[in-house]
Amino acid sequence: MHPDQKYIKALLENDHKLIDEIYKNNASSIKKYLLSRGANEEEAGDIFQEALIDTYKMAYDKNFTLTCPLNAFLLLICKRKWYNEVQKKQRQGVTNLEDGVFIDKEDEQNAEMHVRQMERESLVMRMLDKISERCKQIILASYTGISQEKLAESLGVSYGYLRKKKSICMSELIALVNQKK
Amino acid sequence: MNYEEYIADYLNGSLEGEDLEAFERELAQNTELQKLAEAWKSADQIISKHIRAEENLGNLKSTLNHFKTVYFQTEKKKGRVISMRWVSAVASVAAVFIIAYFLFLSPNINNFQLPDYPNAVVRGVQNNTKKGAQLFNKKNYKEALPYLKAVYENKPDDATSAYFYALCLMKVEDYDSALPILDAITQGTSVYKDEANFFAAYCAYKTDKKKDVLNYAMKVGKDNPNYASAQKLIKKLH
Repeated sequence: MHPDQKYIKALLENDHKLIDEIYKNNASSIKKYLLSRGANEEEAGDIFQEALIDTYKMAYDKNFTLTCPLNAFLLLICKRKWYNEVQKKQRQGVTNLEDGVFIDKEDEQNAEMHVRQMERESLVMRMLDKISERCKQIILASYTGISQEKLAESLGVSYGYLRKKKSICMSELIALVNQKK
Repeated sequence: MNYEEYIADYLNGSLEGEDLEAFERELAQNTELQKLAEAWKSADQIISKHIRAEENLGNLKSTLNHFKTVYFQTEKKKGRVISMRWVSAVASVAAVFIIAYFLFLSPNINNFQLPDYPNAVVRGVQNNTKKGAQLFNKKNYKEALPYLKAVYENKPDDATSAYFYALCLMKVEDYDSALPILDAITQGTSVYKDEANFFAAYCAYKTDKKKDVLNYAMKVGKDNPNYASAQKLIKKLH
């Protein structure tokens, strides 16, 4: 576990003092990088904030262990986000990820591993938005804390049908995720 | 036994007895089932975690918005930043009220902000639309109702007429009449579609149509200002 794990905890606990430190230690270098790649200041702020929110979501179950400095991790997330933004909008901007910022090789590999996990999670949530409305409804409803029996009753279907349909929906989601990997 | 249907029960520990034994025997030798169960477990954990994280994101977002203005804006704007101590204090008080509201109060139509009827102040002809719209915007719902009803009956396919007539019906607590009109809007493509899902869920809740509450409320998007209220309606089904 890297000592910067305290910042992950700070995001989960909404600790203003430490979150201020995250910005103090990282915002300037990441902003400089993004501006040099064609982003404006507002976009840089949005990307940095999204990176922190994605980190919070990934760490929400408290099972995430940071194994590299937070700066290496955040820089890599922001680079990827900006790259995707430029690709998506086909706008002008530098998509070369090289930055000239020195990051230890091992830290870079660890950051890469974390970002891959983050992207995997984000892919699942994006594909959940892409499956049929009924499937999305059934999958989301199963996380509301209502028992499966009550849920089936609320949806006006039998418990057996709901189980079968959920299985089909999850398989559909998994197939979509595998297809996009 | 269709093993795929039993993955959820297996993963949440509710598969028992002979079914469990049969499932585990198949799992041990069926690599496709193993892959599906593994992917299912992973997707299940991710969705569950992200839904919970999203529900509690509000306070963190406020903090991040504050620091974004400090670290990503001009020097001039930096000088106007409010002390975080005040932000924390206000946020804490607001959070207490919000939690109290969502825990203890029942959803109530009077607590929802309704939009104004568009183009109510247009010079020229006095017609039912204009009269109804003006009365609606002045919150004189009982008086607005006959005008809006006439407009709706004249143009039942017009989403604006239908939506505001349905809202007016809700305001006079005629939920049975409002629901089918809102339902038609939820099936269309108008700008009122997302809002209509929430208000339809509310009408279904008021008329004890549990199945419909869930159907409509689940379709209310996270960006909708009534998203939290929609989630509250779902929880009321427990």
